[in-house]
Amino acid sequence: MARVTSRRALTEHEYLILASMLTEPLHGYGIIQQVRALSDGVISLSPGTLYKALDRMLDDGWIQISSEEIVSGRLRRNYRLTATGKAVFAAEAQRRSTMEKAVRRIARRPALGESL
Amino acid sequence: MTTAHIPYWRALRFYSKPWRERHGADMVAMMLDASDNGEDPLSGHGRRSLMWSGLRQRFASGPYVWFWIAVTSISLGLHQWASHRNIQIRQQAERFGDRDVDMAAYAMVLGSAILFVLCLTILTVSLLHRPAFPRPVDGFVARSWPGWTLFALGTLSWLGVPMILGSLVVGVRRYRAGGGMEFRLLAIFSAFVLGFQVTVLLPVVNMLFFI
Repeated sequence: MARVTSRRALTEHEYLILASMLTEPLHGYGIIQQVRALSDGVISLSPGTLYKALDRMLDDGWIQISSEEIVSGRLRRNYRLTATGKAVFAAEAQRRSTMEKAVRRIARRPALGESL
Repeated sequence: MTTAHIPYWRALRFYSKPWRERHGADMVAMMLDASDNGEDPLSGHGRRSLMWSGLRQRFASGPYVWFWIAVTSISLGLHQWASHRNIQIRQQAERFGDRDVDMAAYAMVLGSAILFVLCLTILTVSLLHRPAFPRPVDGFVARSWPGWTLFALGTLSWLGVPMILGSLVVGVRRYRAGGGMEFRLLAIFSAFVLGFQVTVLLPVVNMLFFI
């Protein structure tokens, strides 16, 4: 059984990788494309970064391999979110949303000099 | 594997064999997919990323850890030998009323100290990367206070090298087994204090004791 605790805050990459798998299982290149789309082309994951993150997430029980097949001589391994992974993603999304609201609230306040 | 796969497999040579067996085929397929879509996964940036990622993973593997343990031990022995040789040279110089400093002996002490600190740093960094294989123990729970107690006693006694070594081992072993950040910090602090004690305090105390 994998460890299921969220041991740390998610990195930007991990957050986007989890987000990319929300709707359907994806293979390696599919995740890279989805992350690129989600970040408006700003983040382009390298293979080293992607597979290091996937390995950790598999280890933590956040994702699992949903299917494996050989297509045109290539291994097609699809990954999907587990219930734990969905919960971790939801918690992180909530945390980011709360922070964003707080920052917006502060940004709307008049500057100290202006209010005096 | 076809000839089209070969450059991609070659780019994974920095990863350990168990890693390649687990993720290699998937990584190659991903890079072939990227290539089909007009991208270059083996660009300079892509190659560097694979190299660093592979080396980090490989340095955390068993054989490399043992290699760095051996090199660190040898560098420590070299440093101890250079320190004692320096003391002997100074003792002889004092006996004959010679006030000149033997620069070669000092350079040897300093060089071996730098080598030891470098090796200890690489070893600690390698040890603190959790290995991909074998996996850490599930649901690992451990108390960190025995390790911190050893660390405190070793630091307060100024020359408690065995105790600091013990707290380093506790920190590393527990962290790699799945322990929390407190064990990682314990290992880093222990390595720092150990390096300081061996390269700075121990030679000074030896010199005061012998001369």
